[in-house]
Amino acid sequence: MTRWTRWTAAQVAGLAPDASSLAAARRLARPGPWSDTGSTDVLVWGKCQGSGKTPYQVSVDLTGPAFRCSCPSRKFPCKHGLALLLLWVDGSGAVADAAEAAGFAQEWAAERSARTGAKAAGDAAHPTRTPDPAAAAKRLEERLALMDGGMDDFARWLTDLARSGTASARQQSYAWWDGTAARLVDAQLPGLADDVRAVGGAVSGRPDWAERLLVALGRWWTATRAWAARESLGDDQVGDLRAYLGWSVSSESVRRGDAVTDRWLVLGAHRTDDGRLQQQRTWLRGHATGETVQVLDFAAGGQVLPVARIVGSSLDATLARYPGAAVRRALFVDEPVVADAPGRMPSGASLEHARSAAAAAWGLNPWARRCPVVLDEAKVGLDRVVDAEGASVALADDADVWALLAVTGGRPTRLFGELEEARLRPLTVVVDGEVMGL
Amino acid sequence: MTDPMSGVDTWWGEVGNAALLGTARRAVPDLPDLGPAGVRPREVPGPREEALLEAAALGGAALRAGRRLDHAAPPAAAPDETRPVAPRRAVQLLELVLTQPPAGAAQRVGLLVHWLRAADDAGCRVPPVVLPLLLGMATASRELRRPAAAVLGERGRWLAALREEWGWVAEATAGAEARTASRLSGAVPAADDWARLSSTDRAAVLASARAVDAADARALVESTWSTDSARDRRSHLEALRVGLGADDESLLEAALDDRAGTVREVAAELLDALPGSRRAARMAERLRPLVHRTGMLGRGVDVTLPDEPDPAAVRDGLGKPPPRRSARGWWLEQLSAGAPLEVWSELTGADPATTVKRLTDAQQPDVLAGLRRAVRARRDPVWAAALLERGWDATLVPALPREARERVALQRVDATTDRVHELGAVVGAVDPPWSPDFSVALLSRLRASKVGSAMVLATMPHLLAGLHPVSLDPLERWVAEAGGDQALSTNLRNLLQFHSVKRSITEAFR
Repeated sequence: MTRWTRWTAAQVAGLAPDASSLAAARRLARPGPWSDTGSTDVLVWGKCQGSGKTPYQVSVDLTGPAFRCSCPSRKFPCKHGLALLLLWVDGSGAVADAAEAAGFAQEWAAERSARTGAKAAGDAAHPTRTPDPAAAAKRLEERLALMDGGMDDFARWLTDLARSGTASARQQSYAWWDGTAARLVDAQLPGLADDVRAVGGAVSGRPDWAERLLVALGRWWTATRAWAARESLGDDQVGDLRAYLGWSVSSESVRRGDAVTDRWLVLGAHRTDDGRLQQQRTWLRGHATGETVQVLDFAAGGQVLPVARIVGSSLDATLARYPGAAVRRALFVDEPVVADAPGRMPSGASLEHARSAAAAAWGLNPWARRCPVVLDEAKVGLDRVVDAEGASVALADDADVWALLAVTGGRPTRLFGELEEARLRPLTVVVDGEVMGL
Repeated sequence: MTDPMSGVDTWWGEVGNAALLGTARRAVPDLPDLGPAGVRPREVPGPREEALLEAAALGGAALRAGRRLDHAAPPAAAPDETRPVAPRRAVQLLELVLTQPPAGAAQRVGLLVHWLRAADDAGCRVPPVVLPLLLGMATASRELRRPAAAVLGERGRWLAALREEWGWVAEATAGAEARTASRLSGAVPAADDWARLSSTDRAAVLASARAVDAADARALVESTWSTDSARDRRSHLEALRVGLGADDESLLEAALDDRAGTVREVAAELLDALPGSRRAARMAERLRPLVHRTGMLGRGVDVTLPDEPDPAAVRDGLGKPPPRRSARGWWLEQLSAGAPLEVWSELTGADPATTVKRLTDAQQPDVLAGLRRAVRARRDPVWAAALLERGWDATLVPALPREARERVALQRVDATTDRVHELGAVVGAVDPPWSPDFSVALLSRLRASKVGSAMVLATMPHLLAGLHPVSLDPLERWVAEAGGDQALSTNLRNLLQFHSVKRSITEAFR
């Protein structure tokens, strides 16, 4: 059962009764108005806040497909159903995989199967039905064709930009960047689209825009070349590329793959919220393997992130790793058990050592945005961290410098953080033997 | 090319120029020798655009992986601590008050001040982790500054010195230290140290020194008296209110001749509190000829207004009256406030209660105003009770012993139920903390009232400051039954939370 073969945006567009419904659905296909969303293999559901007090309940049975929505629209399917599917196919995590359907969706699916007398009655709510392998293969083929087209289009856009120069690209309005990003989303490349939007947004305002944009062009070009050569890449390299492009791997297939059972120390955690999506990164280090992995959680709309793991605690757990070469992502195969004995923060190294370790990781995975590092004898100053050798690195803009200074007092401290480009974001410090998250 | 790296830098600069202008107008520089990276140019060169994009990819990777670290001097570290961190349970309570204030955000400052004072009394400091939050709050609420400054520890002072908004810490710390030293060690600072302190800190030091040793503190005042400004002389005299006694008379008597009117005024006012002083005797002498018994049995009293005072009387305070006051009425009030109260019994031949009744019947407002001042200044319980029987005056209540104080306040509460807006002043007349009996009795009256909700609202600040911990149980029962009245339930719950947290804080430092 491969759930990463979600539909394509074009397939959803094909279901629209008319162009205006599709346009309205595109406007609604963002996490903002949605809550209680989820999907199984056969059902996608969610609640959409319209102009009224009660949100519309929207359910889609993918086997039909069949739609139901509590809105009064006479169009069928209505814009809410289409928007929900568009949100689902973009794979950004706004419509997450769920084991069991929400109550209202489940009831409807049960009613439907009872009415049609279909044998799939109970299956609608539980993803136990065997999907048609031929259909899945066909969907995968369609998706790959769409992505190929999108990458070719993007490579052309890049060479055009190189020819006319970045100075003229800077004159373009944000809509120009956004348009390119929208085409990438249509081609099922949402991760790349996010990167284009972020760089496009920074180009007009930042003094160092020229080098940033140049480096981004190099990164994007590398992605198009790597995609074209994907047949010759290893599974891990493809895994890292997929993560960058935003082609999600279903948690089901990760779970079945590369699992490691170990005692994991919670090294540190960081939360971000860009107003659209909340993210929680938890860094874990295996006691036996010495490997450091990150677990990512997402929440959009009215969803709530899972409770953060306690920094410095140890978890007995089996983690399944996503395919990738360096800075691996993993997920908990089952609920971890908190070990009685607290973990000890592993000893770290100098900044120079951390920097070369990060360079090695970037050599393996050029898409990795950040590398986990443990530093020893690090002294925190107002805007930088200095190690025992006097080497220094600037603090990340969002680092809470006052909290850091308060707990470390400028004294040499063992510190865990994320090295991002040339900046460090400290997440954990060890003060008087106590592990403290920031 | 001696340094291969400078070659890379030049190349990257040229790549940047080509990118800015576009490959339609600018050629892409050839790859430099990237040494061990082992990158070779293509055998068959591709289109210019692709060469630029490849160069950007290579340069970006080199920039990321090959960046050299800056070197910098390490920051100066914070000094070693001298005080221990507050006990664990107390720290948990502090974190609770800081991050999820029980009893609502409005009561947070009150609880924080309680915590900070308790920590200072226990000789503790706050844990470093709360410093940014605490400093931020004390920057916003001034009343937190001094108590916070006392328990920031070396780390807190070091941290505050790094940020401009926290600049107040340095000033607040100096005062807090001097006061802590004089309170904890019981020592009064040496005259030399005293002379060097700022006016604000002196006032604080004097207040605590006075509580430790009244004579030593007075000696400090006298040591700089001749060189202090009028404003300082006045403020130092004000500080003598604490522990005022007969020994202070000569300084005050001398201050009656001060150059500054403001200083003379305070000196006269303080002497009102010393019925055994020479000035009190002089006032009694001036008063005696003015008071006469009247009626067949001498059960009435008549007081005539004094004549123009002589210079000695002016020196004693019979000066220019306040605006819109008759001069002779004012002088009579001054005489009544300054003379010993016993003079009245002597002149009327009756006990205080009867004397007050006769003066009231004789409509002597100036005399009664003066008597009230004398009672307030001397905290004379007998005369206070006598005056309170004739009419409510919240300012006389503190002169009564605690038990009587609470009794008259309760009586007044019973009499004021229909004037809820006056209730705050009535209850506020009993200084906190209240006795268990009064706390419980007051609560039960509030609860029995039909306007209990409004009464709680009117007395909220006093209930927060005064209630004894034994009232937690009745409060809890009331909360459980307050049900429908939303505002009342909220106020009661806040009150309950406030007092239980406060009690926990006190216990956590034991």
